[in-house]
This record gives sequence, structure tokens and C-alpha cells, in this order.
Amino acid sequence: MASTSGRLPISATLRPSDARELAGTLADAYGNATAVYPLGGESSIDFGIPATRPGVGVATTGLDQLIDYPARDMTITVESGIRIAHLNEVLRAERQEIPWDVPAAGEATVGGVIATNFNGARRYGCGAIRDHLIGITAVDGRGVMFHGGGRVVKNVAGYDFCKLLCGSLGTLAVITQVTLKVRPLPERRAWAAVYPDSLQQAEELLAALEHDPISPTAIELLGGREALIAPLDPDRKLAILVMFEGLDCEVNWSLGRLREIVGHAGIGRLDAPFQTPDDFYQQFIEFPARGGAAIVARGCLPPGQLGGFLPKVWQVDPDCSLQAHAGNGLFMLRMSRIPGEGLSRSFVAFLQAEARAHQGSLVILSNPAGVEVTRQSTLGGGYAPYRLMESVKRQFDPANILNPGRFMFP
Amino acid sequence: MLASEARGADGVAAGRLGPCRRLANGMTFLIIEQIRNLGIFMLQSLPSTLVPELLRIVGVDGVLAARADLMVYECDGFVIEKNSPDVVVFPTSAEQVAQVVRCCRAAGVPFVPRGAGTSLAGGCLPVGGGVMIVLTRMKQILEINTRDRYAVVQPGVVNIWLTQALRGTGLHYAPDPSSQGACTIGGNVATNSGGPHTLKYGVTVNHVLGVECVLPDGEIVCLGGPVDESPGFDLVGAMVGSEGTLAIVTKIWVRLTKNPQGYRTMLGVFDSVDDATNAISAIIGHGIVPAALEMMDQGIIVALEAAFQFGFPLDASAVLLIEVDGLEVGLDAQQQDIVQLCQQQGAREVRLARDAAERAKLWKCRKQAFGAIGRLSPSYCTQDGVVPRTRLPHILRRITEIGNRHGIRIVNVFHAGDGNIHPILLFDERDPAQVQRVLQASNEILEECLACGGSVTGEHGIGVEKIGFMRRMFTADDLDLMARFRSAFNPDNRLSPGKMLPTAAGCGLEMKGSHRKAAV
Repeated sequence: MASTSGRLPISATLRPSDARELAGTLADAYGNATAVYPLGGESSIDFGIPATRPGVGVATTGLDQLIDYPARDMTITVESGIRIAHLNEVLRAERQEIPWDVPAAGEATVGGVIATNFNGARRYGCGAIRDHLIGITAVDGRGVMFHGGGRVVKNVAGYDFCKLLCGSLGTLAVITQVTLKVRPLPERRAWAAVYPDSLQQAEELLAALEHDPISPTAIELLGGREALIAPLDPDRKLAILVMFEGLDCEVNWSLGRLREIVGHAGIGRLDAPFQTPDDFYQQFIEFPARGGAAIVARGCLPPGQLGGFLPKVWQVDPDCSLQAHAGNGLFMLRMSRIPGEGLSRSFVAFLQAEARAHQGSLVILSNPAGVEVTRQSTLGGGYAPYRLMESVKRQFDPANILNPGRFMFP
Repeated sequence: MLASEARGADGVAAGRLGPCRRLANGMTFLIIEQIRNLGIFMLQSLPSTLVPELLRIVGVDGVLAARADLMVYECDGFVIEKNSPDVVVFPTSAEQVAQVVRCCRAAGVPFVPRGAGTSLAGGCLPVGGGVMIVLTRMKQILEINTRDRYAVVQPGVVNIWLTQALRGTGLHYAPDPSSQGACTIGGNVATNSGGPHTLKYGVTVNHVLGVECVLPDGEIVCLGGPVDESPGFDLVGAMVGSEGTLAIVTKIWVRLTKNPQGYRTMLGVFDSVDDATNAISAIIGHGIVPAALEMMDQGIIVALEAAFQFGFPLDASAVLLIEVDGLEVGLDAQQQDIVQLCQQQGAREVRLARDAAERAKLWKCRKQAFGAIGRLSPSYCTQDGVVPRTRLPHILRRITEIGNRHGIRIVNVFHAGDGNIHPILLFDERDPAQVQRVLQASNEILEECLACGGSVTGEHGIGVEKIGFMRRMFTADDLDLMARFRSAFNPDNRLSPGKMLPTAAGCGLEMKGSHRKAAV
């Protein structure tokens, strides 16, 4: 995890204690055309392109209040600077949770997690960040505070700014408060680990899981040394982890059913239930954020296309490690080195093109060394209508003060 | 025949314009002659070149412009505001939509998309007239991918067609509005439709992966696709529920959902509305997330029983239709918990649907409840509001009190698990005083939803009906930013003007045409 000081060209970090003060800070910055780098838990600070425009950091960590928690309505309203670990502590007291399994949960803030759209393996069974976010308050690049959605679970009044701000990487607004839809804690959780011999065999199992009534919460395809961590068998090339949550009887049935499906797929080894000490799951979650990778890339394909695409990755970097939320087609790659022929040839010209050819996308999430990262490699080209996004950006941040140069916009 | 086969997607034949020869491209003069001969009356409000251009784009079978034909399109399910479009076109491809849009833009006329016209908030009302683009002829299911669990459909595909097409695959399309036999998926995208099963499965936006759409400048763009996420802003998420004010959707990638292995469908019978609403809170509070949790009060039970003879207890104050689904092995335990929780809250009895046929009949009753209301009064107004689930007892008491005070009978059938109420106000539209009282009572109910921390619409949309409430729900800054956001797509506000945002001061358009009062 990189520190703020080394990563961003900021002269000072302001830490407003409430949303109004934060709005005032942004209004001043707008007036002076000062660049603003929004900061949460700083666990994703090395995402994107190294920024060069001098400016100030604006931290949301002073906004960490619990606003309202009507547990029987299964919603919670919190300020954006609250840490994910703290939020889940509050929810666990009512036997509820927000199923976001994010790296550095003790540091990561709710606002940061929403801005980076990062919610981990259980997205398959529990939904994405956008599915849990029902209300939002934020401050745009003019210093104007605005709202979207509300505090009820169903609401179609006005444009859905909740969705728009998910994954907007702090380039449209600084989130100050959110209302989330939470879920009851499951009675039991269990993992199973399966070791397919090849990507073809893996795909056979993954497809079989899609065509069966079995309802896992997570289906993970892992490859490479950094993904197959203990107690997974490090000598295997691939592993599939399947997570079940629910009533005890449902989990037991699912494990038995999985055994049958794995048998049909002709896969020899299945650990079910796979004994997962808490620190394994913690390490598993930390995969994209653990230090030491030359590049961390994030991609998304139709799930059935993973098997065709991944050999291209290993062609570029045989030591690359993979963690794929295989049920959704989302994946993270930890590349072991900057490819010898350079990023523009190996990543942009080859792997991004291959991802597109497989109906998906691939972008560089973080590149600690900051080597040769371009707008093309961090947000790709040709995936989405840039003109339209630029037009939206202009409306929210007309002076381009929010995270300038780090992501999609210069 | 000029548009002789055009059919409003609500199933109403749009009627014939009159005999007309099929004309070759370029024969503009002859087309204009034909139009004159056919007595099309409103064209003086449009540039003279527009209709010939539209005829060239969509063909003579794809244009309606006679008064009698246009009447079908002067409103949707919200019939208190009416305004006729000047022309209706029926494109059959995205390219045709784009050409029509470019044409309208060049001519400086407003244009509005329409699906089946089942919107209950005036989402399809052609405010300011202009060209209505009806998408019901774009009705192909283009792809079904069971491996990656998505389908690609055109906007005119009727919601239930997709689930019917998926029979045997083990998959279904989860959003199931009560109008699913008529409403289109394009319209569902515009309003972010819900339905009874959204309690567990989410609303339309949770099931849309991508859209192809025509921007108001005529450019065709793709947002998202057959994948869970794409780099950049989530414009798909913002497009869903935008009520046709950002772009015209011409293709949709939807997520498909596995069919549950089993169901348990229950009918909880209660002697008081309070007991029923307390049972809802108890079930949710217990950590059970039912697939659906619907409430019907006595007024609606009586009408349903008269229509369907299901065997509903006519003396019950309220019934809850509760369904859990999922793995068979866990269902009996959940059912037992629910029965016990209902009994603890004073349920007189909890009946179980014995088989698939009985379950289907129960759901048929629920989804056709609005149809049964015809037995209760000549006209009715279905409201749509949301409160936090725990405020249901309060809002239902207030609804009764408001109805009594205004002398308006109100019955309730709604998505209780979501806190999404649908009070149905019964009246006779021939009595203007009653109409006024209904409007007043509706407003008071929605105000109360806001006072409870809720919303004035859970699934019907703002349309034109609830524009007045936007200032109550949002600040001036919120609305200004929404207008700015719209202008990123729709800078001239020529697409669907007068919708969703209170733009009276901004758009300069006024209603014209008959503006008749009718059933609300």
C-alpha cells in the first residue's frame, strides 16, 4: 500500500469534519481551480496514472458518523468516511452484514469502496456495490452538495446518481453519505476447493454449476502461486473455490451436490468442506492489494470466455497470478513483472485487444512503479463512448479539479 | 394500406388511415399529395418536409398521422393528462430510430419514445406534441446465452415473452411487473420497473447489463454489454429509470436468473390490517428474505373473490401472499418459521398453496387485481409510494383516515415486503368534485410517504404525474444537477420534454390538444 505523500502531488491534506465543511472546501478549490484529490482509507491510492497537477488532498475520514440504522428495515445510513470493518461490526450486532469483502477493511472507507467499485467474491451471490447502494449524498466539482435515491429500498424518483457514482473513482464528486441495503447474516458459510487439471476442465465445471440449481455465493477460479495460498495446494496450477451460505441444511445439501457435479466433470480432487481458517479468507481478500506485484490488472469478460482468454495472459507473463470471480467473469491479475516488450505492446496492443475480442475489457488498476501507464492502459479505449462520459464529467466537474489526470480524463 | 396494421402495443388496433399506394423513395411530391388527400390535419404544426422524410425512413406502413389513429397515443395508463402527438412512427431497427431522431432534430420538433403505453405516470405523454417513436415493432429476442446467463432483446419485446422463450432452460427474467403480459422490456428499462418478486431479486436495473441506444443527436452508442462491468462511468445504471429523457434504447442485454429449485407459497389471513403489517416486520426482522411478500386488504379481497373465486375469506381484514423460494431442502424450515411468525402476530390461519396450479392461481389473482377493481367502481387511481417497511402500519392507518376525510373509498394491494404501497382510490370520473377529492387524497398520501422518509414512486416513475413532487423530494441543487446530467445527453431537451424534472420554467413547452379530463 502506497502512502499519500509519495503518490500524490499534494501540498496539504484537509480533513473536514462534516459534509458542509467539505462542500466549502470544494467550492473554494473550484473558485481557485485547485486540484483536489479525494482520500478515504488510502488503500487504493496507487490506482491509475501518477498525478502531476499540484493540489490538495481532501480526506473524508472525518466524516465517520453512523446516521441511522433502522435494523428491521434492513437499511443503514452512514457517512462516507466510516471504515468497512467498523461498519460490519455495527451490522453484526444486529446479525446483519454488507457483503463487501474488500482488502484493508480496517482502513478502507465506505465512500472509497463505492468510488472504486470493489466488492469481492460474494458479488456473485449477493450482488454488486450498486445493488446495495440506495441513497447517496455527495459534493460535485463546484462544491455543490447533492443527493440521489433515498432511504427506502425501492425508489425511482429522479436520475440514479447512486449508480453513476459507483466506480466513478472520485472524478465526478466526493461522496459524503450513503444509505445501504443490508442483508441478514447467513446461518452458516462453507467453502469447497476443487483442483481442475486444465482450463477446459475448469470451464466444464463452471458451466455445470451455472446449469444446476445449486446456488453458491461465490465461485472463484484461482491460478498461480500468489493465488493458491495455504492451505490450498500450491503445487496445482488451478483451483476453483466455491462458497455456500445459508441454512445449515442448505449448505450441507450444496456440498453433497457439488461432490456429484465434480464427479461428473471427472475432476479427481475435491476438498469439501474445505477447512478455511479466517486468516486464509483474509489473505484471499487481500490478493489485489498485497504488495510485490509489478502490475495489478482488472478485467471483466462473459464468464464462459475466461477459458479462452487466460492462456493469452500466461503467454505474456507465465508467472502471473489470477483471482477470478468466475461466476461473474470479473478477474484480477497480479503480473510478476513489466513485460520486456513494454506495456503498450504487451498490454494495450495485445491483451486489451484480446479482452475486447472476448467481449470484455482489461485495464491496469495499479502499477506501483508508475511505469509507462497511459490513459489507454488504465481505462482502455473503445469500451465506452468517451465523448458521452466527458460530457457527464463536464457537468459535474466543469473545472476538472477532481482527481485530474489520474484516470479517464487528462 | 398506410399504417393499416399498426397496433398500439397495449393491444389496441391503431386503425386505418385510408387507402394509399406504396410509394417509391424520392416521390415526396406524391406522398404530400396523398397526405393531403387523406385529410391529415395537424401537419401545419410541423415543417412540411418532416412527414415525407419519416415516410421515406420507415415506409408507409410505419407512419400514423390521422386524428383517429393518433387518439390511441394521446396518453398511457395515466389518463388525466392527454396530448396528441403530431405523428407516430414505428421503426423496425436502431438505424431507423437514429434516422427519425436526426430528422426530428433537423426539423426542431420534440420526439418521445413509447413502448406498450402501460406507464401509470404519463411517461409516454407527448408533451408539446411532435413525433412519437413507438418501438413495438422491434420485438425480436436476438440472443439467449444460457452459459453466461444473459439475453439480448429489442425494446419492444413484451416482458413475459422472454420468460416464455426461456422455458426449459432453467432460467427466467426476474423483473415481473403485474403488467408483464403487456409491458415491454424497453419500457421496463425506462421506468426501472419492479414487481412482486423484486423483494428478493431486485428491480429492472439489477438485471440490465447493457443497452444500445440512440442519443438525441442521432448517434447510436453501446453502454455495457454481455458483461458485469465495463470501464468508465456506469451509464447503464443511470440510463435505467431515466424515463426516456436521455436516449432511446434500441437493444438491451439482460441478466437471466436461475429458476429456484422449489417454492412455498402461503396465504396469511388476518383480522386486522395492523396484525398483517406487524407480521411483515416480524418476517423481515427474523432474517428471512421472502421472494415475495404482498398484502391485499379486504376491499381488494372481495373484488378478487368475485372475479376469480379462489376462496379468499371475505371477512378477513387483510391477507398476506408470502412466497419463499430456493433450495428445496431449506424451504420447509422457512415456511414453518413464517407460519409461526404470522400466528404470533395474530393470523387467523395460514394456508399453503398445495401445488403448482394453486400457486399459479394465487399469483394470477394478485397480478390481475387491478382488473378486478372494475367491479368496485367506474374509475380508479392507482397510487405508488414507498415507506420504510416498519412504517407500514402507520401509512395504512393514514390512508384510511385520508380516504374517510375526503369521502373516497381506498383499497390496497401492494408490495408490502418492499414498503411499496399501491393505494387504489375508487371514484366516478363523471363527477368532477370526486376527481378533485381523489387528487387531493392522492397528494396527501404521497406527502405522508415523504414525511415517513419514503418516496413518491417505487416503480411507476415520475412521468408528468409527479413532477410537482420532485421539489419536495429533492433540493434545488439536486434538480439543477439532474438537469445538467440530462443535458450531457439531451442538451436541447427535445427528447421527452416535460418529463421527470420540473422544467416548467426551462422547456417553454405547453400542453396542447384536447387536454381532456378522464379517469385518473
